[in-house]
Amino acid sequence: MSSSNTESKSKLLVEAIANGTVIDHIAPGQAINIIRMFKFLGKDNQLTVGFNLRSGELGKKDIIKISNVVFSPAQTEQIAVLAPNATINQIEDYKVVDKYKLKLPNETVGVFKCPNSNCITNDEKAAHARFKITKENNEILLKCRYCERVFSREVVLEYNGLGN
Amino acid sequence: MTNPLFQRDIISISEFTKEHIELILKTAFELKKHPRTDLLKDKVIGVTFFEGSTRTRLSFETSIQRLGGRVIGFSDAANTSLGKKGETFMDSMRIITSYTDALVIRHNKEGAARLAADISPVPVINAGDGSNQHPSQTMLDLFTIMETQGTLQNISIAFVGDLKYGRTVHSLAEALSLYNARVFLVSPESLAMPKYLLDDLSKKGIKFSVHNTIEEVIPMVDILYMTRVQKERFDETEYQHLKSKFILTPDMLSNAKENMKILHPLPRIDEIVPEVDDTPYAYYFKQAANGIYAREAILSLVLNKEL
Repeated sequence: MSSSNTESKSKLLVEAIANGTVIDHIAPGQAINIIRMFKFLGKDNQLTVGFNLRSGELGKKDIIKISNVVFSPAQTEQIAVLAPNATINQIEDYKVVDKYKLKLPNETVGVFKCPNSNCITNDEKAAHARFKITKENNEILLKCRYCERVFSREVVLEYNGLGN
Repeated sequence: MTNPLFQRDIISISEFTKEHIELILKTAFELKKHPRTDLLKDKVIGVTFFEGSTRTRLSFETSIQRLGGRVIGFSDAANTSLGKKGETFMDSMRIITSYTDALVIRHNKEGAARLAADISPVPVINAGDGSNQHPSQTMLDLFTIMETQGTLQNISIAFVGDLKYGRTVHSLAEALSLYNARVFLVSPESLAMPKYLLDDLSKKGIKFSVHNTIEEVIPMVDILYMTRVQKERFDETEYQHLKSKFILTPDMLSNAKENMKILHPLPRIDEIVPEVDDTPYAYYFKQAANGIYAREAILSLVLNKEL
């Protein structure tokens, strides 16, 4: 493989998007879960994903570039549960028009189902599971507002089909 | 001055401060000494039991009627629109709470009372939601501990039996964590207290230890809190095996402290043999009777600005 070929391939990997969002500094392994959570694969938006890329901050990181998508504050909160240290870059006409670092939200509403099968939220269609989110010794914990059980983030993600 | 529980939902002991607990206890002692018949005058209370119960339902209904209130509701959801016509729980709750001044609810699903409270315009009192919370039971337990020991502070208490699914144990342990309790846990391994609750006790600085037999903890405790190993959670063989290991008999009480009292949320099945009833330690029937005062106190405080 010639060097120019390698260059063009790596260039392709980081190809800029005209309009949309770049989610950068995603904890490795979580990009696939973000894609699953928003069902990006079933949509027409152009999607570029990088796994295990080199990163100064995390050692490794994932990255997602998706065209013609602007995340709402509620959606960025959802992303933050999966990737609390990610950065959102909103792109318009190839330029970054907004850039911010995500913060772990205090609560999620209607995003995840409660892993407790006897929780009322799994029985009532109109009920939305709500979790209070805390971080203890580097572990992210979610407490269901209804059944009051506390789960690790991994258990909640696994139950919601977002496990690795 | 408006009491801090006026128009509040009573869902989980985790939301109670010491001030709330002590206000309920003080009111309950007052009502035991000086009964009142006017505190729920002209009030209609919905008492909805989606899951069977004898003591809790009857003591709530008795409390309401003794305080001068009236009761609507059901003791079994099978004959309601919810059970018969497939109405959703949330719709049923919306309607019933639009008829009443307060709602008392028992449900087999965890979180049902909170969900009802989220959509209810009137206060909701949780009378037990699955294996989660049962705050009025906790209040009557605390009332009984206070009545028998004169204090809630620094109590040594053993919980025996089903510490995994037993919501009364979870809620009482949580409440006693506000009062520097020393907790002894005695259960078969498969019914041990869940890790998240043990973590919670540790976090609150509660000293606890795990034991295999009732005998070894009896000389050390002020309160021996027995619970039923719930038959419905096990297959027959496993149940027979488990229950035989945690049965309290009078000879086991020879080393008990003089002030020691045996409590049990009832119904008891085999875990306390009837001969224990005649010992000075048995207090579970008086405890059940105290349910009236604890529930009267909760209802009065929720529905009266001032008492």
